[in-house]
Amino acid sequence: MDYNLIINGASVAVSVESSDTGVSGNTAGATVTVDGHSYEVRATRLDDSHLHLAVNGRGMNVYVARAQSITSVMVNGVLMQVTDEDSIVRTRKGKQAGMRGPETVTPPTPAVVTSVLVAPGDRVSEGQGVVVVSAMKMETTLVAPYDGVVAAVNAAAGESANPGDILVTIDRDMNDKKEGRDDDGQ
Amino acid sequence: MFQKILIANRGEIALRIMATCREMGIETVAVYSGADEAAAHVLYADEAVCIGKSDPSDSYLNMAAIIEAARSVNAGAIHPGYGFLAENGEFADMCAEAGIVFIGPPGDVIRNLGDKITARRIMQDAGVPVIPGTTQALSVNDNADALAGEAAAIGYPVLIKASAGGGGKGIRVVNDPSGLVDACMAASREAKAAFGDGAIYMEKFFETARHVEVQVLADAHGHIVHVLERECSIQRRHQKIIEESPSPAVSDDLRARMGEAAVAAAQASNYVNAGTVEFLLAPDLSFYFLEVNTRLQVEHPVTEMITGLDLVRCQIDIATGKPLGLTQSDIKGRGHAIECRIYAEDPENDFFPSPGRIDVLHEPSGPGIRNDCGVYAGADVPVEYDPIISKLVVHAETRELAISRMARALREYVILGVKTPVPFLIDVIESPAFRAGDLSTGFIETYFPDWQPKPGLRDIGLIAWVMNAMLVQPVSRQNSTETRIPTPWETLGNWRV
Repeated sequence: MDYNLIINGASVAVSVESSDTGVSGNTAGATVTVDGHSYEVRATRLDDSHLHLAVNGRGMNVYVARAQSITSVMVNGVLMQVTDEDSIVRTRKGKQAGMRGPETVTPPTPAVVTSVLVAPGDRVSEGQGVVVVSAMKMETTLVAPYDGVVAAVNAAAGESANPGDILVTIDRDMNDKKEGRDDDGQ
Repeated sequence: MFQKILIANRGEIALRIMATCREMGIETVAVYSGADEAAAHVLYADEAVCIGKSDPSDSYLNMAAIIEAARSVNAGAIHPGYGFLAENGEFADMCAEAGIVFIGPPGDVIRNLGDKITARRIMQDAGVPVIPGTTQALSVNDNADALAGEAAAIGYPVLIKASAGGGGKGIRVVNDPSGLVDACMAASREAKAAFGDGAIYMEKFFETARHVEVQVLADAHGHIVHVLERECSIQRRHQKIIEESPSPAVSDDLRARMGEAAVAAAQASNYVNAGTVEFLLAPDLSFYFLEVNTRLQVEHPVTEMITGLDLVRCQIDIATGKPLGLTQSDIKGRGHAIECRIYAEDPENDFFPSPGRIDVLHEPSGPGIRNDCGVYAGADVPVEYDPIISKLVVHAETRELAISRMARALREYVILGVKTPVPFLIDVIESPAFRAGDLSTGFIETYFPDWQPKPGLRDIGLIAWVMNAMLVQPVSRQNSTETRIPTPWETLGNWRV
């Protein structure tokens, strides 16, 4: 089985070949090849979120939790986020049109708008503060992702805002488009 | 002795206080808001009373509702924990008027010390050294020239601080005149939102200073001891994240002098109960009074680990009128303790709060480890309150061993569902600068300005993903936001008899 997995933003080819013992109850054996490097792996599922792995004979506990298409993996105090690239093709196509449109400003967590620093028609430069939000009593300034002109402001002081809510819409400068598209990949 | 104590707080500190109450044979009463019906502190308490809606001003800051709750269950005392009403003199007075013991200092002591300007004056009069700064509260309505005049007199960089409260809220560093007015306004707004009082003041900012504080215990009979120091220099956004005791910078001689100053500070303010005198320790080892925290500190466990004292038990005993039963020479530190604060926050995104549901939780354990935890797997970290999950504390014979122990504990701590600073804390704890004890309040900005996780375990992460997919459950829970409890048919589906 071949996968294209995205881990912490980078795409990696991973292939898996089930070993002779294969999957038996809660245990599975396989050869996993990452970027041409092969590992002999034996895995035991202990509960929904807990697997014990022996990777080339070395034992370790790994923990997994899935939210939508993203699987969070925690090993030895390190948190990684893994996505199957093939499983998100459909959703990504749906978003394509939006990604070419004006760039947006949205809070990373549920928050309350403290103040709005710009008005429609204002020219803003990348990194300039446009909205101040407060979550858990900490103030954070959301900044313009690109140079451009404010097309719309959909926030007012005192209103609550959730991730995905577009607080400020900024039409990006035309000559900046190329550079900006690279940023989309981050 | 009290028969029943109401804990006017939530999260890990409410649980920690209840644990001591239980050991003392005292019944515990939790209070909770609409957002906390299934919170860990509610589930742990003997009784629980709902005091209002999720907004803090309707619940955990709702003084009348909390007094009424205490009355309704016949609680003899209220422990305020830290934050919320812990440093509210009016609340202490209201408790006294209602015939309920407030476990903390009297209202007027809280007011005097809570007003940092009055506190500075008290300390100056008692001969405790203070930082150069404004002697009166500043109004943000003052014209810009007046603010600029004060800042110029003190000399840049200056620190803008809220006159009320603490916990890093309403604090701004200003390096030059251009950002001064904006910073004053933002600090005042934050202070107003967090403490209901927008008054601010200004003092000299030391770029490389350490934050060292001294725990004090004062009984109602005028007997005061200090319980050694804690170093809390590792901060981000002016909020402590790693604390330890003893401080690697403090010699026996300096400890004795800082301890004497802390006792003098407590004496001058007529202090009763447990308190903390915070000092700034300059590179030349001169120290200046910062403020008194008139409550139990978040980081009190490091003191408990090295002294063997239970500070909550001391607080309750003092509140009942018992004499301390300790003299200064009884208090000795043994070994070294370190605490890491584990918040629901994203270290890759400027430590922005990361509220949500805890999907997976495995707490570290083993020799010398204590985790004061306020959540469980399946619990929510609500957006309304401070996003602290737990305080991970270790104790070992030496600082070096305590660092190794903390690194192990952090690696064994599993939290999924919300982001935590665990990977960041591992890097900080194991950094050469931290190991060398080369600490200052600018440590994170200096050594970890744009921290990103190391890519080290990438292949293991990918292997975990594919093996998890290979061992997929017949009915897997694809969506963690789904809250339904699986039937036995689902949970047993993968087992063979």
